[in-house]
Amino acid sequence: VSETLRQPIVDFDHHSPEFNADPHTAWQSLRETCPVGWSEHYGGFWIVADYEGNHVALKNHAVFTSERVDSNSGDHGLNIPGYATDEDLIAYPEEIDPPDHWPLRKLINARLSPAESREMQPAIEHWTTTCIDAVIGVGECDLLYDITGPVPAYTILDWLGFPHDRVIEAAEIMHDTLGYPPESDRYKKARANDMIQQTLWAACAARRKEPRHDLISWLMTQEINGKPVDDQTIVQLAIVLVGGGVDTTTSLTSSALVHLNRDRELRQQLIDNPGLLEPATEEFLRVYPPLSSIARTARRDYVLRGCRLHSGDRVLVSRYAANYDPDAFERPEEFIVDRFPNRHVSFGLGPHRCVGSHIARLMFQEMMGQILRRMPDYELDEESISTYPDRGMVNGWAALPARFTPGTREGAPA
Amino acid sequence: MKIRVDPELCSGHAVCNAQAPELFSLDDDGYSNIGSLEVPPGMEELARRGMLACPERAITIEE
Repeated sequence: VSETLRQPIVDFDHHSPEFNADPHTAWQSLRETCPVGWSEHYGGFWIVADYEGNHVALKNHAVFTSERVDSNSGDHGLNIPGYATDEDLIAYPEEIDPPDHWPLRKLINARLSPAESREMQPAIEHWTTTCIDAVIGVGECDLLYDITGPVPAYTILDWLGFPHDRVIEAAEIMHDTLGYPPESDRYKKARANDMIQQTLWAACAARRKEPRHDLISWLMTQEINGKPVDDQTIVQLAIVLVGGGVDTTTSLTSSALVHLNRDRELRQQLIDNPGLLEPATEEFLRVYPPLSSIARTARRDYVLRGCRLHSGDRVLVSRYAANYDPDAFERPEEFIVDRFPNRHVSFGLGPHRCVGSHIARLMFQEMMGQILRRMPDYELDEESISTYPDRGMVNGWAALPARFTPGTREGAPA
Repeated sequence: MKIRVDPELCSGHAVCNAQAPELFSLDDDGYSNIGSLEVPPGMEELARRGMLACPERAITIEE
């Protein structure tokens, strides 16, 4: 039986004000009308907006590559438009396909396995306690700037070996790169700032002389394919850990706090039964995927959902739309606290699955657990909270001012 | 009952292990290392939960 090939044209721009006024509806209508469609923006790209399409595109690296291959739009990279230029170092192992991907990935896997992540629980507790202590007596704060932003940034960057006094600046560069439209001044300024990379190079030089108990020093003791890991490889690995570490768990936790500002019954349920937080984590992940889309490039012609993708076509894969696909989730619009099974794709699928997924869950649960215990009556100022102006890639927040009944410090005195 | 984890499909989500650590063990990288395994009597439900949790659909069960 011959199949009629389709090329449904959609007017879709995930960086536009129209999209960003309501990304949820935009992704939903895309999946319902296509679910695979072609947009003429940014030199042309496909959008994959259903659950099965995510499985095909994210697990089949032979067709859908993460590498910087020539494309029909002249663009490459893991977002559309791709922001990496040829001068930018290739991100390891994110922009490398198997089999070369594996030796790089294995190094990081070994340090972020579930067991190794649990070893970081004391550090996660320390940073959460410290950040909440700094505001608990005041009775008001910005939950994003004071807690959900700094806790993951300090936890991950400290583990990595990034200097303490540059952590907040690095986090802000990542916020501006991921949360603001490509044509905005904030985005351009952040993209032009190479502080993160320079700091990583300097940290490598310092650790060569004097190793410490951090990931950079540990990587220096390791080998890839029988050769010692050099500084450039460490920088290429570390850039991904900075990017993945500072803006993703922040976005998830912030979304959950907004959700619980609007659903007081669920907030009370989680306060009364802290054990519920573990299954709830998966549902918060499904409903608020921090990374809502990711790009690939077609290495060869391929028919997906009756659409002919040409070799070199750019492809934007929407995890967000997949997580609300009624073919994969019953009553997807409903928040079901103990939903099971809950095979969301918020950490991606296939060889590039989020390497930090285990520590992300632990950080989320510690922040939520402490906030619900120490600030159970937190009240967000709904008039003043705001999302990222650009949620095409990261489903994040720009401000979360809140009030709560003041409490007492729990950590060591500052 | 027998469970099988396809090592080609396992991507280290480790959610099977989170459901039933006594059944779904992991290697040092956090990936499944069971290959195929006879499910001890009484643990059939845990095996099913582990299978259903896997987002990669890497786990199959033979009754």
